[in-house]
Amino acid sequence: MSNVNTHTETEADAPPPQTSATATPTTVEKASNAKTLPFTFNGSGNEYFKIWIVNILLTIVTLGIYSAWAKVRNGRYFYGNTQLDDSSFAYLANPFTILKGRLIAFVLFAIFVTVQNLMPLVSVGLSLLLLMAFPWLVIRSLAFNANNSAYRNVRFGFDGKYGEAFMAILIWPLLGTLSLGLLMPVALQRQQKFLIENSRYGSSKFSFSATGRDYFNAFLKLIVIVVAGVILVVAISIMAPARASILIPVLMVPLYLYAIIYLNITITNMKFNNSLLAAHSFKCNYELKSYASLLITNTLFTALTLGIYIPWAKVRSAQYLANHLELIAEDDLNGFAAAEQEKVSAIGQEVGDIFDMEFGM
Amino acid sequence: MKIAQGYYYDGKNSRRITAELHEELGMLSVQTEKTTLQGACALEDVQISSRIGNTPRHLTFPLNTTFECSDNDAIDQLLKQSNTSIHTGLAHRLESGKRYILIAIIVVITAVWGGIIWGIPTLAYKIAFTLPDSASQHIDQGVLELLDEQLFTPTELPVTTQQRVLNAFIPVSQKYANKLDIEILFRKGGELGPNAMALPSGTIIFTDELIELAKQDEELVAILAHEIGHVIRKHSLRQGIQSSALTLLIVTITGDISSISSIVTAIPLILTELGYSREFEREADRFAMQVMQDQGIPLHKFPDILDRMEKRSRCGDKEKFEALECEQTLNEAGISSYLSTHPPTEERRKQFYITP
Repeated sequence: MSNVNTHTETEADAPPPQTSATATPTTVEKASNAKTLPFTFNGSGNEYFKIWIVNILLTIVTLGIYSAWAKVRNGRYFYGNTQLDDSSFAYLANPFTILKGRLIAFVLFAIFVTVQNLMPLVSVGLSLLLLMAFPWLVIRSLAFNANNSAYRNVRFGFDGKYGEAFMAILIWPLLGTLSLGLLMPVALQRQQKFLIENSRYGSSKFSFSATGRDYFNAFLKLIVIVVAGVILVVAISIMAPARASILIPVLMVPLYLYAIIYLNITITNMKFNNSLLAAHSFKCNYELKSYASLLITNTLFTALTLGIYIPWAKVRSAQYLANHLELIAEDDLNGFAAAEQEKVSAIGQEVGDIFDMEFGM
Repeated sequence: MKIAQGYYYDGKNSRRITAELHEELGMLSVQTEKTTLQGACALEDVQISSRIGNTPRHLTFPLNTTFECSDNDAIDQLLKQSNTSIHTGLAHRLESGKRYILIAIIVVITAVWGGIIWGIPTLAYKIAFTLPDSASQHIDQGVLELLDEQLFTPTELPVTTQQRVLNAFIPVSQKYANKLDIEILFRKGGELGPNAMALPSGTIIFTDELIELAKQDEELVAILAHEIGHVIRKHSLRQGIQSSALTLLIVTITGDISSISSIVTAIPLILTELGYSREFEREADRFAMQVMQDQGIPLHKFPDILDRMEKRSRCGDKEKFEALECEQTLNEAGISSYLSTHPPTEERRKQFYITP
């Protein structure tokens, strides 16, 4: 599945976030040139369904070759329908580049599976190699995606280095896990900082102001609730073991759902509300109730229709993001200079995709 | 002649200029009322993005200046008039025709269904029996070490019992000795209870509990035959290939599903894999049946021991073993049969009784 840009496609091309949370009264409204520009999403589920089903049809008919073109068409649909200040985003990836990446990924995958089945000891070594290559794959993938995203004919970019990626993607989550989740908020903050501060629009860098402490505070509520939930479950299984098999799922499912929803909301809001692009900031307000109803109905309908609902679900998610995201622009957005072009291959992205490596952004 | 209104960007910075697209004699230009922003350029030198739904079109001129335009119809008209062979977009034509969409839906559903039921298993079968099997020899050792560490404890069966069972196995295991490298091992199952399992290249493990549960050695021979079936039909390799192929198929269908919770894709994946697993069990059962017929073992011996194994696993220790309550739970197959790696015992028993 899509590794790097886990949420919607549109999110990746609209990377800049903002700092409303820290807007102190001392911030004098300078010149009051600042304008609030909403993002809009104009796609519709019915329209996207047709694109989606034709994509799958052609992919099946061409035995998978078309999947590269399908990916580009999907990307173009979601980018093209996302607008900011009446200009739309553009997805410019070349399908042939993606196809090449996919073929390489497929060959590697076939080798990996064969080795895994025939020589499990060697496959341990291979897995380790893959793990070490993972940060590199993530960087390539982000760079490919960013380089092929444009707004007003100026491309985005991503300049992360292996060392930083290694820390942000492997070491920090490991520390988070080893500390039983206590350091997870800090790990998340480090990842976001890595992703955002290495991103640029043209030659303008994004910056990220949230600290590990901010993240810790934001997730404190979740940690308390989860710990309380676990204690409750343990208490039930000790005090009423007979009913435990019914009571525990009844309690755990809503708790699990709540945790997922809370996590998504907080991550998204924190990401945008603490990012700046030059002097422009972002305002994102995902809310518990509306987001929960989006996520639950999307999941439910997709399951009930055996997947046919996927196009509508994706459109609704993109719409939700656009409706809850604004850019606080300090000027008319005319002043961003383009950067020197560089070609980025799709290999990282495709290898990451096929090995099913999720990387939350 | 003015074609459409839109925005002009020069590609050096993000400055936006509201402008018009003009066409004269197959030459395109972008201008405002006062100035010409992009001089006349032959239509075929301009890259025009293909149509997708109602998303704006981007016209890219040779020096990377662009014109963004929401008037899709005007652009389509322009492409149609010019006799250049610029693609009108096959995909968009398919997407716009109701009939094509209907056909697409039918073909996709049929293909996915057929792929899961028939395509993937057949593919895996072909691949598994093409691969040389010498290479898989090392697998068992690693898996066995892992099992010994985490699941099993050393057998507590008396040596005489072990020898008796091994002797009973000789006729069957000898028959396949030239094809397979069969090695019978005994282990105390612990949590696993009465069970037997086959590792990919021929190591077959019986738990002490299973040996004790069997009333006759013929029942154990039936189980052995079933496990040999797994090995000889290369089930573990095929299972591996099938689950990889299935993952690929689902990724293709869902694209980047990740915006929706991934639990949606996990559920059908797990259900399908369980389906595959049950199919392998049926195949091993059929194999066992054949072996039993060859050996002159009454077919009911296999379901007999299966029943006892199931009772034990469902009803726990011996106290409740014969209880009526337990009998009742056995008959509740229902929806849980879709969540199991093995087919319902009832179904398997029938198989063995129906076959003459």
